Amino acid sequence: MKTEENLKEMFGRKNPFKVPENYFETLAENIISQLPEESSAQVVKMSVWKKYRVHFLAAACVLSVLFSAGIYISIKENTKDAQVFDKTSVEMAETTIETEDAFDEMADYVMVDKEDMYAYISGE
Amino acid sequence: MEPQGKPESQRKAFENIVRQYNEQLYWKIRRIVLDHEDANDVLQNTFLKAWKKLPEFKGDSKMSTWLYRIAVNESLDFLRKKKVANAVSSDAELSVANRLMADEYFDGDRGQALLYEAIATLPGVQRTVFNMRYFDEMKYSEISKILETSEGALKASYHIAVQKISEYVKRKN
Repeated sequence: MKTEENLKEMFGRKNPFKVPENYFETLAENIISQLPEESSAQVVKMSVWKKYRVHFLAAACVLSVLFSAGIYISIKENTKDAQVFDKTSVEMAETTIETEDAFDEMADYVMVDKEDMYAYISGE
Repeated sequence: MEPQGKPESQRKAFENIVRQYNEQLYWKIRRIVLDHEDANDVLQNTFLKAWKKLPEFKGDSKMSTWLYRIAVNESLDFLRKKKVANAVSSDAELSVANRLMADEYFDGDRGQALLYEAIATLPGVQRTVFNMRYFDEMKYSEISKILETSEGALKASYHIAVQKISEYVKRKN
């Protein structure tokens, strides 16, 4: 930059400032002597809740997941039992129908009434 | 050097930081505030603030960068307060050169006094950018970390500062 070069030519970069004699020899100790004893960081006592808040929240999350899972499994088991019950009822109904069909076939084969056959089986 | 551990060791570490950086920081402050007594006060405030803010220093920048940032802010705060107190007018700009020439702790010639008078007309941050680049020959990347400004903005600021100073000096001559 030409303007910058012009400034350097005109004024240079020499430091024109001075300090009192022995200023820097004692400066550091003067500064240190005026520092307060401790930095301003203060230890604040936190309540148990504040201190362990994250842990409490994590435990609550885990418990709610377990609880929800427990409910879900319980519902699923009940649904399964209901399905099994329904299946058994259908099977029983189907079995009954098959038994009656068998009776009908037998009755036709021996040329005996179904009622007579039932009566014979029951011992009447 | 990053102070860690017990308060006692932290204090000892900070005392070493004071011994290591006091002179370096003094000159950076002096070029902004110009007067020796003012620079001494600002330097004291800088280390006091650094001591109070020490727990916040996480080592994500160099210690020198962190300290320099505090020093610049303290210097500019000082100038703002002084400006309010003195109600600076255009006449006051001329008195900067006269004040320097009368100052027992100023060893420069009339031309250098005029240069500092011209620099004193710049806004605080622009003044600081000029000092860092022109006198300290700092890289823009270093200045960027201290002032937390982009390198592009710094280059523009420096360019404008040089133009203003050149025009001011030409006018006064």
